[in-house]
Amino acid sequence: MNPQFKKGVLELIVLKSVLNKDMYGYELVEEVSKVIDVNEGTIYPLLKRLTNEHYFETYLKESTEGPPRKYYHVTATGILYQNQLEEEWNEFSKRVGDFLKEKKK
Amino acid sequence: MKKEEFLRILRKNLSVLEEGEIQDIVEEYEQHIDMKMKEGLTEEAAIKDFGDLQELTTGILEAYHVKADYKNEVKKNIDFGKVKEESKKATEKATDAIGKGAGALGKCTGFVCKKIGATGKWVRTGCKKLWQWITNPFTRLTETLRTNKEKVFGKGIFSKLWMFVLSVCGLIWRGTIWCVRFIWNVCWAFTGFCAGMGALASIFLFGTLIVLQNLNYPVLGIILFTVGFGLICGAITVFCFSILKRKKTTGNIENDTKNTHSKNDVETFQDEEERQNVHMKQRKSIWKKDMYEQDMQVEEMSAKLY
Repeated sequence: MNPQFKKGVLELIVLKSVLNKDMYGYELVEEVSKVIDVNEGTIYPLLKRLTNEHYFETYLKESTEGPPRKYYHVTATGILYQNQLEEEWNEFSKRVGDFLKEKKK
Repeated sequence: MKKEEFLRILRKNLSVLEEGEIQDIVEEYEQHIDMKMKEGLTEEAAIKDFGDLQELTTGILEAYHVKADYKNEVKKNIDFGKVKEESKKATEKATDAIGKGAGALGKCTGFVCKKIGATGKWVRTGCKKLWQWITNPFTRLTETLRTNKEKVFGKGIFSKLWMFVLSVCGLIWRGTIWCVRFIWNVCWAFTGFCAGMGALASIFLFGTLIVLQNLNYPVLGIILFTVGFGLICGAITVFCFSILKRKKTTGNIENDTKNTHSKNDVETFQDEEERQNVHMKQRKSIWKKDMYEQDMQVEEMSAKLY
């Protein structure tokens, strides 16, 4: 898959994943990896950036195995941003799909 | 690559960030690797999944809006620091040399000022002597007129009228002298005031330009110009006001000489020239008195005539 495609949509997928359920880093990487094949290292900088821009907030939670885990939670601005991204994506994919269908004929 | 090494390099590459943030990121990656290993992957494989380490750190730093090639700039800064130290030493030496030079310059200026002062005094004495030389015949004439007025003018009405005309001329002459002196003083005061304002303005401009220069504006030339202009203005101000002061002090001396003269205390003057001056004043004041008496006489005469 073209890495440029992944890069743009990765933010939306991460936001959507955390929106339904608070997740910790590794869990999130696995969730995203189900959808797109992504370099695992790139998720963490993205999480960091989204936290710095106040779309995420973090808290520590004890785990049964190993050290406490850092969980990510979507903020109100994060929800708004996610909705906007989703709309944009739908519009974008619809247009691209329509264009491709039209050219097929 | 082992986990420890990976984390060490990661830590080093992120050294721009705060210690807390670095710890946060490193822990996240450490946990990730641990979990991967629990799933059965080897350390090497888990780390390989992260891809190129340099790209990874670049991505992380971008999240903080930090330039990834900051390291190079840090190196440059270190070099710059060395240069700064060297230049500091050089400036210290230079300031030392400048200090010595300024000391020598100060001595030189002192010497030159003394010479100028001496020349000024010489010029003043010269001018006074010239003025005395020019006015001497007139004073002598008035002297002779005063002492021998009856011989010169006779006792008739025409002679009295002649004296009246002369006294009017004297009055006009004194008035003109006073006006000229007043205008002269006003002119110097005005010039001095303007130059002083200029000097103040250039000081203000100098401060502003220094700040601009520190902000890397190319205003060095204008700064030098401002310094020069300020110095010139200051010099003009000092010159103008020194002339004014000179006039005033000579005025005071005149008053003093009059006072001391009235007390018959001429011996206090050591300077031959000043003594002469006092004599002149004495003569002048007597002459003035005489003129006044003459005026009175003329008035009386005219009153009798009508």
